Amino acid sequence: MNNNSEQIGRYLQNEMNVEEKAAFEKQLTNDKDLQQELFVQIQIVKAVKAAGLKNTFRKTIHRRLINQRLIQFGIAAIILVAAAFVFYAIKTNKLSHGERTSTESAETFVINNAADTIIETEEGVVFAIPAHAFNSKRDKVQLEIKTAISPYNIMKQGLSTTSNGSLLQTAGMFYINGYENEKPLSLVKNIDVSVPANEIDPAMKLFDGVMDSSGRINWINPKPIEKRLRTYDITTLDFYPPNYIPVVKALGKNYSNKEYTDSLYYSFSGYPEKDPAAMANQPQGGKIFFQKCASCHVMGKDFTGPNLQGVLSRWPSKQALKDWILNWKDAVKKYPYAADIANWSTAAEQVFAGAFNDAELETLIKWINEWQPQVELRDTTNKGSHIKKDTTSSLSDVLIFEGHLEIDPSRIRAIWDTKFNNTILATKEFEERLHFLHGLCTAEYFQAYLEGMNKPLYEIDQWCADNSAGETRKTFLEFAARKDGGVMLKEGMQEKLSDYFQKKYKAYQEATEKTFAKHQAELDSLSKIADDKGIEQAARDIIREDKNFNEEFCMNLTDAYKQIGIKRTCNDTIPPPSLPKYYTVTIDTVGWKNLDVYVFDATANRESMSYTDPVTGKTATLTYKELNITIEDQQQYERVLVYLIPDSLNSFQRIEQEGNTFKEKLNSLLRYDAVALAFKDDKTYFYRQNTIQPGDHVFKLSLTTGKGLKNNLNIYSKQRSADIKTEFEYQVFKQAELKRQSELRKEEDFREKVALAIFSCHEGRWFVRPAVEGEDVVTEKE
Amino acid sequence: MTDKEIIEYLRNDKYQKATNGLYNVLPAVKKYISANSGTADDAKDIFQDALVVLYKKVQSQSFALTVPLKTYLLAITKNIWLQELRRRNKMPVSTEQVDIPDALPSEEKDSNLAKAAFNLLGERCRQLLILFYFKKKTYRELASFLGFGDERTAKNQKYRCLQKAKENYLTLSTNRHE
Repeated sequence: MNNNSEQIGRYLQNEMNVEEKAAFEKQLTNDKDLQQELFVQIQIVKAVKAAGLKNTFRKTIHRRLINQRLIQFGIAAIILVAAAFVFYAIKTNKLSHGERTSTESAETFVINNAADTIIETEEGVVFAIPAHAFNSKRDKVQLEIKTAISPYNIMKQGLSTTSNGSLLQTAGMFYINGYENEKPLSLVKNIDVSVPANEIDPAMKLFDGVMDSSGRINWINPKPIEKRLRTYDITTLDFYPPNYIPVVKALGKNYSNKEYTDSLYYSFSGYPEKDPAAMANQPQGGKIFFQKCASCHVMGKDFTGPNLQGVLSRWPSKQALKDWILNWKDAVKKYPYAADIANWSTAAEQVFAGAFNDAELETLIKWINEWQPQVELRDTTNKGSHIKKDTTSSLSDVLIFEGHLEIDPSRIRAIWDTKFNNTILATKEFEERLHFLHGLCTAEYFQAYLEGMNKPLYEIDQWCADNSAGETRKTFLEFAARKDGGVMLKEGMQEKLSDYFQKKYKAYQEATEKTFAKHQAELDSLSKIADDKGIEQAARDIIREDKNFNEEFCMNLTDAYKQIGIKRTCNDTIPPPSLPKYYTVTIDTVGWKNLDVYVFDATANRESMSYTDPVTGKTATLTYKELNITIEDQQQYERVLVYLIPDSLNSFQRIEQEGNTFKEKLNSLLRYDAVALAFKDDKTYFYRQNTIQPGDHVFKLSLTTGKGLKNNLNIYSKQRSADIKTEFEYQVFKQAELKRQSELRKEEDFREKVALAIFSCHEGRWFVRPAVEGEDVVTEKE
Repeated sequence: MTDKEIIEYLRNDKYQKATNGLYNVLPAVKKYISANSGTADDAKDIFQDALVVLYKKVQSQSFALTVPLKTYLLAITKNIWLQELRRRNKMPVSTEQVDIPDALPSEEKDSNLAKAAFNLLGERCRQLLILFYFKKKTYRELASFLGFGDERTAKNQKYRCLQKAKENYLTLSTNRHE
């Protein structure tokens, strides 16, 4: 048979192009062998799919079966404790009747079969006999109990410790039988027996004693003994992921306050999809995208901006795309595609020139280019990364466990509740397992323990081991080997608790989501307030600067004309609106219009000017002199602002900082006051210098209050002080806003660190399934 | 769970949910099969086969039930078991007539041959093919699940397994003809 598997595979999967397909089909009509091979391959693939399906059903039936067994088991659980060789003759009744009276150490009791009875023998063996344990119709039942726990008693009673001829090590024996009028009864309910022991040996087994014809007891039918579990108040146990508290402690938070650690932990329910801190786990390109592009672009669909999936392939070159991003208006001139896409929406694209450096742009484009829709985000992708760690994984992992998120904090919250006291969950043994379960990228095993509360722990351990592989399986096997038992549940309790869990889990999840949404809405509204105020402030800045300029220009102009002997008021002049327009004006008279230009330039550039009028020969000068202000201990402040308040203008101006110095040029026609404002933590500092002269100054700021600030500003005219007050109010608000944002960042940073401690495998979740590489021809060689 | 819901689960590959809904048919299957010279393991095996058949049947949108789904499933089970007994050359003790239309598994010779050819493969090959064709894993995922060094190895291995299955098929079919 020829090997055309590859070609047939591609044909069947519809991966051929038109020509290839036509060629293949043509060959198919002539080639009988190929026809047969195609047929066989179709049959095989069908068989494989059927086998996979059957396999899946095998697992689902198995899981359903386990659940069924777990539920059934609770009704008839046997719990035997700390005994070794137990003279266990009740059910089988194999001991001869005569045995009963042959030893003097037998204790006889009469018990009420209709009530629960607890009996403790001289040697400290405790029998817990439930009501109606014996199949007697009467209430009164005689009970014969013998115990031989100490070696002395064993020898005194002549009991042997051999099992099919080989000697056994014993931790004690007991015999119990019930009679009704000397007639032995059989047991219909199980009896709990506790045998005292100095040390627990997990290898100890429970044997049935059978008397042979010579009267010797042979010990047969060994059964492993479960360790009975002690339950604790569940709230005193530690159900957190093992790294959680150490990290909270290391980050300096109040780790011993359970109320705090609980609320912090539970707040991670649903993480990280909804947590902004999860952003930090984005690859670099993703981070850039979500910071700078996501307000208009959504990957995978059109939004305010078009879908960027595969955008690189639509552009003639990567450079063209980069040009577009940085300045789309320029790109439109260069590339026809850009002109095309510019019409995509009426909303103009933002110009990002300066927002990215080239390396960032590269990273961003790479990320966008590699982006794939996150189909089945919760499915195999993350499991894949989990399995990679576990190289010995078998198929069963892959087929059984479809979901694989870590244990959601809401699940823990739902079980960490006194409702679950007196179940296997309220044991140190479960606590230890849970610490291990937290590290697995699935809640399935956790669910197994929850659903198996009426089973002994070791059976659930074993089930988990049977359904896992590699290191995980090894650990579960180690747990199972401890033979940790169960905690008896009342009938129907398992279902009730499961139901309770489901309801609570859902409720807590929803509550966390709601809280998160509320929190997010609060943050959004605060940010919006800050944004709005920022916009208002920017508008005020523009208006003020414009007004200042006009006033100063007018004043300079009046003064300059006065110097050359021309009387002119500001109202005569319409300040030139902008330079290009200015040069197009036709000049018909020589003289003062030229002076306008000089004064305008001098005012705009804040430069001294000297102009001699060609007609009168008079000179007009304007003088600007440098002012340099430094702040004492400037580095101790978070933010420093310096303002000039000119006497003849209606407003104030802010001085730009260059290096450590605040530099400005003072117009000699004006008198200025200088004011400095600084912020540190919640405190405000202030300094004022009246009538400042050009030259170098050092300001020493002092602490002030809001009221002090106001008083300091009240010396100015109403109009000006109102302007300055508004400015200062805004600056105080901005300071608080900066602080809020920095705290938010700190909080996010903190949450991210805690999240890493809680979720051991979430890093992978943001990454998407790698693209399937193009099929290349495989040549097989024998 | 209603029959309609179970069918929806099957159509949407919600295997566990569908199984939960159909699970209580299993005791009846066990009873029937143990009464007809089968073991408990046979019962489970046949029940799985029956679920596979049911799964395939409901995929067709024209699938219509004339009897309750569980009855239908039981009928499929019985028919598969009769088929199996015939294969083992044993006649059933109780030849209860199951005459629900369409409750017969496809008894094509070819599909049985393909099944046998597949089952002759080694465990690893079976895993690999199931992962590829049923679980729709990529070569990269195959490589990581099964511990191959790279995708190329996974790909080669897949073709080798497929080839082996095809050869098995042809050998089996030749033997049967002789």
